[in-house]
Amino acid sequence: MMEQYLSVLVTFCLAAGLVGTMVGAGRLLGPRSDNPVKGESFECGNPSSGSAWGRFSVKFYMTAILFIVFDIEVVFLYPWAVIFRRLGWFGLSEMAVFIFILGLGLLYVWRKGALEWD
Amino acid sequence: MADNATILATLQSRFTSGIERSDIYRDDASVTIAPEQLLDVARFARQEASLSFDLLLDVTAVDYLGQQARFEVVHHLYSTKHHHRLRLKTRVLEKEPIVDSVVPVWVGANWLERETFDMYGVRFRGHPDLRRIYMYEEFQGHPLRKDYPKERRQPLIGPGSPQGNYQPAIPEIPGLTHVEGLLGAELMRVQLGPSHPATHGTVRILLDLDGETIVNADVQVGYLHRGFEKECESGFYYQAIPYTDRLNYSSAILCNVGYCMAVEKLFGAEVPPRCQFIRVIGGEIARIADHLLCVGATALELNAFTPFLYALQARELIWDLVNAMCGARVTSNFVRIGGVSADLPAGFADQCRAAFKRLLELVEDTEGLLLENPIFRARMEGVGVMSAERLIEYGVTGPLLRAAGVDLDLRRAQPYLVYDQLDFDVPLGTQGDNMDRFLVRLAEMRQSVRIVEQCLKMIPDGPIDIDDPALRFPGKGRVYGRMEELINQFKLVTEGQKPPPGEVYVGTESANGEIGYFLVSDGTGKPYKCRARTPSFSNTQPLAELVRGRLLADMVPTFDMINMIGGECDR
Amino acid sequence: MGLEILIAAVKALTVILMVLSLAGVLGWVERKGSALIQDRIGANRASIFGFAGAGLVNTMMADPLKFLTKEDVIPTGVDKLLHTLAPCVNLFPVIVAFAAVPFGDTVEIAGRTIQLQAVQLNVGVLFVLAMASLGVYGVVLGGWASNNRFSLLGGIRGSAQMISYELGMGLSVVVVVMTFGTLDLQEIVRAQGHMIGGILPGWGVFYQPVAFVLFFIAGIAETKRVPFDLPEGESELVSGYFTEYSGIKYLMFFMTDFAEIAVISALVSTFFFGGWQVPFLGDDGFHFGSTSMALPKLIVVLLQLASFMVKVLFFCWFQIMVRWTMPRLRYDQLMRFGWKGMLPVSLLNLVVTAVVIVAFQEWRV
Repeated sequence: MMEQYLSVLVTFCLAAGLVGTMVGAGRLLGPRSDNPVKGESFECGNPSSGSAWGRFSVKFYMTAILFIVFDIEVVFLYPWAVIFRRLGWFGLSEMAVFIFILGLGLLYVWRKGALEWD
Repeated sequence: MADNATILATLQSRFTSGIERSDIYRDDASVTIAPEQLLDVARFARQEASLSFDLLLDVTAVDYLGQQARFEVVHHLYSTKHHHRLRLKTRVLEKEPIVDSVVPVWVGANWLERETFDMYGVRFRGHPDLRRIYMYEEFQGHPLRKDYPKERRQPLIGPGSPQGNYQPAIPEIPGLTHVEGLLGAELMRVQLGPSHPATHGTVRILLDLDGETIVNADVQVGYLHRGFEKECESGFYYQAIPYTDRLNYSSAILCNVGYCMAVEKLFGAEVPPRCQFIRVIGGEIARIADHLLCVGATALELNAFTPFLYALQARELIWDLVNAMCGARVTSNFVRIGGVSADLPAGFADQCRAAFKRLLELVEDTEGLLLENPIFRARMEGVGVMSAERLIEYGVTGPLLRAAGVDLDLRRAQPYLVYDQLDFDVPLGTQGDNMDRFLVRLAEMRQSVRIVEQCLKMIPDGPIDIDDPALRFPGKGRVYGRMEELINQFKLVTEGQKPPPGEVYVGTESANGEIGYFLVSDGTGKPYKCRARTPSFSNTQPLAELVRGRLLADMVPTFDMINMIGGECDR
Repeated sequence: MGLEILIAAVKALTVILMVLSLAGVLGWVERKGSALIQDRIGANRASIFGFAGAGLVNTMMADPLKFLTKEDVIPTGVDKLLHTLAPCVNLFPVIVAFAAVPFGDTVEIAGRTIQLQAVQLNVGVLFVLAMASLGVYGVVLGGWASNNRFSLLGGIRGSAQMISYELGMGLSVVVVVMTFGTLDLQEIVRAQGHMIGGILPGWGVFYQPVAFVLFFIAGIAETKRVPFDLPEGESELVSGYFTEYSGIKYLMFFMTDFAEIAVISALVSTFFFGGWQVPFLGDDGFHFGSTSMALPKLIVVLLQLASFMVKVLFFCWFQIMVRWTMPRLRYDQLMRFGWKGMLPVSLLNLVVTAVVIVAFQEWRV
């Protein structure tokens, strides 16, 4: 079991090394010349209109919350999916109830208009 | 269609005291009215059924320096129902250049009056948002006034200027419809352009976004303003032709034709038939180029890269044709006052037919990739809809208006050159959405091909230049052979053609709508006033209203279908 | 233990190099392929001693070198740490995800059985999905750290899009797991080795065609490419979440793009097209019904490797074709398609699959 995760660790290290090397090489090889105009953020040639770190629309948060709800559903499905053959009709009916409830949830947010973006 | 005399009689019978002067010169009806009567006359002209001037083409001013009533504010009107025209003139005093705004009558007067204010300093009473439009706020003076020297330089502003740390303020959007978004969310102010991938004509669009939805928009033009009118007024009539190339640089010949026709109208001259056919051929070829660019750029901005390159490949064939006609590709400087620069080359008809065959194949490829694609349809259909009435109120002409189902094509409505002898259709849309605009442009390309093919068959032999020494430069061979011709050539070049005093307006159908030239002659070789009424300027005006309440991404095809050409819009 | 680490390192290095060269090759395919589609010549400027290699020198050598030696501009207003971290966080999980994909069966070297798979996990499916969903952090960090409105909008768009399509992707993978009954990617590939009725390969696509379509669409959406390239959306958002990036960091976003194409293609091949399986090819050679053709083990392994690569490249090419023929969706259309189209269909597909499998088993038992 541990050997499996050893290879994960090795791969992580190598990938992180590669990514780090790229950033480092870019820093070493690239020229540097700073001036205030270059440092401005891009606003189509206009002077900057201040920081962009403001609050953004609540609609995006709605998407995030809906995602959490449904993604947890998907996560619950995985262990069941592996052994549902053995669980047979009992497992299936249990899961059917679960999916049905979530389906109702989807129907609810659909009807409430949470899936409309314009 | 009421004739000019009837129009003037109708106005005179209604306004007995307000009309100071009315005349018909070279078939142009114009009335001079007292400033206090302007709004009433405008309202009457619009509402009276026999007049119904529903389209305000242009607002500008003429500066008669030295006269007591120095500025003459000029409105050009058109009726989409009766297809007749009228010029309204109002004299205002130098001390107090104020006149009523006609925005309550035609909403499209908004930008036009702003431009007049910017250029001449004439103020409009009751205008909702009288800001400068082309010049920056700090600009001193009004550049089109006759006493503003052309050479005068204004202090450079911005970073690196002698004034140093100048920071222009972020302008407020006038007439905010919303100040906060859903559930009180902060709006995000985004500046689109002037240096932005989608604004291929330089324009700045200020947007307030609530998430992805545009709640407020302000379109700011003028980044390509180069003083077209000032330049034209400082040179001879013939020297303005290259400037007209740079109005709509993707269909330069159409702009040439309109200008030269206006000068010829000042002279009361008509060019020989062969020249008229050549002008039609050149113009229609240029129209195809313009539509190809518009269609291709729209595809590109919806990230369909391949159709764009097909369209540009087709446009390359057009440039080859233009090259064969006059030796230049884009800014062709082809048309001359009283003629054209060169006759069609030998074998041009065959070259044209071969090019059109390939061109139509490429257009079909472009169409096939786009029209059958559900994503493209979903992006275009039902987006950017505006009713025909509202578009007319904004002064929109051309394919945009025809896409909304209004049958207004000057080639058909007021035929000029030889269009009355040609057989072609005017494609119309039904919904007035972006898809219709797209389809109308595609169909117009095919009609243009049809027109050129007919012209190539019908074109008569004969001279290409008008035989009038006061108007047209003699050919080189004649200049070298005869003393009188040489003297004439010398005088024309150094003093310019001198049309009799008077003023004319000529509107022609360019690729994006009516391009009109308003020329005022004082009898000298230089135009006293040379005004270009350009379709892009009027067509860009409704953009803010078209995108308000829509998604950010909807702005892209809408802006593309408006086909704002920077040179034409900003002059 | 040391040997174990060495073997793991060699395999991981092989995979990483494979991803990098695939990204380079895809850059070439994209540029030359689009040129082919669009009647152009395409990349041909760079050459070494006159050798341009049909543009390969340009895309695989000149481009990366140029990016390396470009200035890495960091605007003054940005969050410097996150700004640098974002491209790393973007690229890292894609490489790691690729490592979990089996590119061949086992080989025996010096008495050791070595799996041709860098990261062998009995929960490989979960690992790949977890890594794929990490990609969203790169996007949202890049968008936020840049302190630019276009970047921010692109970042938010990107995160909303990726999480929305992750649902469809996750649900279509559940169906695959149900069909093969395992979370091990190598096992999933092995289970596709049989032939259906002796003529049709036992690939997942023949059992789960709906899941294949859903997974592929969701995959393209996860890679943020046309028609789902809204986070970048250059005609609206200039360059989206990487507007403020230049030099090597820009290249890293670019590479992520291509590496993601490769990962999605590898996963599609693994789940639905038998991975490294070659139809009719067993451990010892080809079997066509009663006739068979014996082959040495090495040839079999090489054939399987080639089969995997061909499948991956085919799906990469397909995605590039899509990119050069499609326009871009609009945000609301994208979300509607994800939530009102993909999600219900994949839920339905799941229920139908479950019922069929259980009923079929019951009936058989």
